[in-house]
Amino acid sequence: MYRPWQLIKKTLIVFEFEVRKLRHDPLEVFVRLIQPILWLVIFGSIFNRYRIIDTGNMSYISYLTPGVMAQSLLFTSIFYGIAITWDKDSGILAKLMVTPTSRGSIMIGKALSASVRVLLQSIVIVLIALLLGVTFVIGVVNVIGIIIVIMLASTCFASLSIVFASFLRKRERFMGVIQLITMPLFFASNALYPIELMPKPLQYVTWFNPLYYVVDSLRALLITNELGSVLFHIGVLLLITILFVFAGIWGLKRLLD
Amino acid sequence: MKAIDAHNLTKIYKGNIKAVDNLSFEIAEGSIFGFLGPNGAGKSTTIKILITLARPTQGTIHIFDLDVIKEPSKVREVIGYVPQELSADGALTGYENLLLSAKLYDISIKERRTRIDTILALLDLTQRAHSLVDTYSGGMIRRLEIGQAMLHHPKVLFLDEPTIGLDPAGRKLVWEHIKKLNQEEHMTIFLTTHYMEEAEALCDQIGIIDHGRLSVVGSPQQLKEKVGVGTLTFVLDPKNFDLSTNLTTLFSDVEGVNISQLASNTWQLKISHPDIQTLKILRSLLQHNILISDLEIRGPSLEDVFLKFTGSRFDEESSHSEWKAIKGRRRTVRRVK
Repeated sequence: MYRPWQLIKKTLIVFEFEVRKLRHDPLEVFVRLIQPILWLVIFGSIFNRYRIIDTGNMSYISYLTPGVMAQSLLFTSIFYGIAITWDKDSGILAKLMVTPTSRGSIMIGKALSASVRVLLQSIVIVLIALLLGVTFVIGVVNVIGIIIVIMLASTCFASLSIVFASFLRKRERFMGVIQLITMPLFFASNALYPIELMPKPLQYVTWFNPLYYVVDSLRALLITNELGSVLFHIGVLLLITILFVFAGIWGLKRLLD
Repeated sequence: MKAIDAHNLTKIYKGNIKAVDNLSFEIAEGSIFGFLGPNGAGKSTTIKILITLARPTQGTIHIFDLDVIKEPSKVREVIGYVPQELSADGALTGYENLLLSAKLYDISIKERRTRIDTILALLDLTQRAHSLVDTYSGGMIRRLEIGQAMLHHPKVLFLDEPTIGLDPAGRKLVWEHIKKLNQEEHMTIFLTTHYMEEAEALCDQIGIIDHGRLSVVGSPQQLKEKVGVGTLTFVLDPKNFDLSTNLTTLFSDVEGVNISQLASNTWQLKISHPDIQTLKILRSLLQHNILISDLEIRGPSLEDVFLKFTGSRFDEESSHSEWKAIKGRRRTVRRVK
C-alpha cells in the first residue's frame, strides 16, 4: 500500500543520518572546496583583470561566481554514486532495503543530503567572492530560490550518478567514467563563458545540459536579479530531477539484484 | 506454525544461470536452522530471496504465513537481517546505528531509548556507544549489527555468515548471544555458515545446499548418522598375536560395525556410535587376549557429512581472504572519501 506520509518520514530519516555522518567528518566538505576556490581566485582574478571574456557590463568575477558554485555542486553530488557502491559492497544498502523503507525514500534521502554539502560549500564560495569584490543581490525570494535550485540540482546529479553506479558497479570504473561526464557538462555550459561565444552547434547542446539551467538560475538570483526566466528554468530542472530520481530508484534495485 | 515455508524455489539469472534449483524446505518456529554449502552453491541467492531483495523466477515462500513475493513490506516488518559484510555504518556511532534502525522500524519515541539502552547493555557495548563504529573491533561491530537486527523484535532473524573473520573469543561471544536470542526471545534463526563447529554448536537443523539444490536436511546428529561412521583403528602387538588370524568375525556381537584390514597388523572398524561401541570393542579384544600397541578413535564429523553431500572441500581459506579484502577496502574507502 502506498503511504505518502511514510515515504516522507523515511526519506527524512535517511536524510538525517546522512547529515549526521557529515557532522562527524566535516573536513571532507571543505577539502572539496579547494578546486572551486582555485577557479575563483586564480582563474577568475586573471580573466577579470584583462577582461578576456566579454561579459557585458558585469565584471568577469561576478559572472564566474555562480558558475563556480554550480561546478562545486556538480562535482560534489555526482560522486554520490561512489558512496552508494560502497554502501552496496559493505552490505549497508542491503540492510537498509530489508527494513520497511521504500526504495524511493532511500534514494531521495541520500540524494537530498548532497544538497547540504553543496549549501555549506556555496556559503564559503559566497564569502570568498565578497572578498574579491563581487556584490550580490540581497532578498528573501532570492535566497529561497537559491536554496531550491541547489536542492533540486544536487538531487538531480546525485540520482544520475546512482544510475551510473548501477551500470558500472566497480568504484574504479565509476571514477573514470564520471570524469568523462563532468568535464563536458561543465565546459558545455554557461559556467565559464556566455553560450553566445560558443560555436552554433554547441549552443544547441547546452539546451540539453541540466547544468545550464542551474547556472542561469543561480546567476539571475545571485547577481543580475533578472528573474524573468528563473521560474521556467526551475520548472525544467524539476522535470529533469523527477526523471532522474525515478531512474535512480530503478538503478538502486538493479544494483542489488 | 512454520516460520519459513519455501516451495520449489528457482532463481535463474541472465545467461540461463540456475543459482537456485527447485528448492523446498520448512523451518519450524523457534528453531535455529543452518544453511551450509560451498561457495557458489546458492546460499546467498536463497537468503536474498527470503529477505525480499530478489524475486524468485518460480516458487513460493511464506514467512509466518506472509507471502514474501506478494507482501514484501509486511515481511520486512517481521524479519531482521545481518549481512555477511561488516555493515554497521562506520561514519556513525554505535548508538546512532541503533537509532537509525529504531527509526526505520517505526519504534515509538518512548520505546526507543529503553530498547537501545537494553540492547547496548545486553551486547556489552554501553561503554563505547558514542564512539564512531570505525573504531570498533570486528567482534563489536558484529554484536552491534545483531543488535540493530533485533531491535524491533523480529520473528525471524537472518544471519549471513555471522562469525566470519572473528577471533575465537569474539566468535564465542556471538554464539552465546545467538543462543540467548533463540532461547529467551524465542526467535527463529536462519543462518548460513562455513564453519562446521558453528553449525554444530548452534543449529537444531542443518540443510546442505549444493548446485542450487538441497542435498540433505536434518539435525547434526541425524546427518552424522547418515554418513554412518567414525573410525576406530588399532595396531596389533605382533609379539603376542598371530597376525594371520582373521578378525572379521570377532566383533559380530557389536551392532553396526564394519571391519577391514589396512595393513598386516592394522585393522580399522567403521562405527556409528563411538561412545557406546568403543567400550564393547575393547572388551571384546580383552576377552580374546588380543593385545594392541596403538589405538585411534575418530568420531563422525560434520565435515564428513559435508564432503559426502557436496563432494567438495570446505573452503574456509578463500572465504576468509575474501572477508579480509572487504575489510581492507572498507578502510581505504574511508580514507579516500
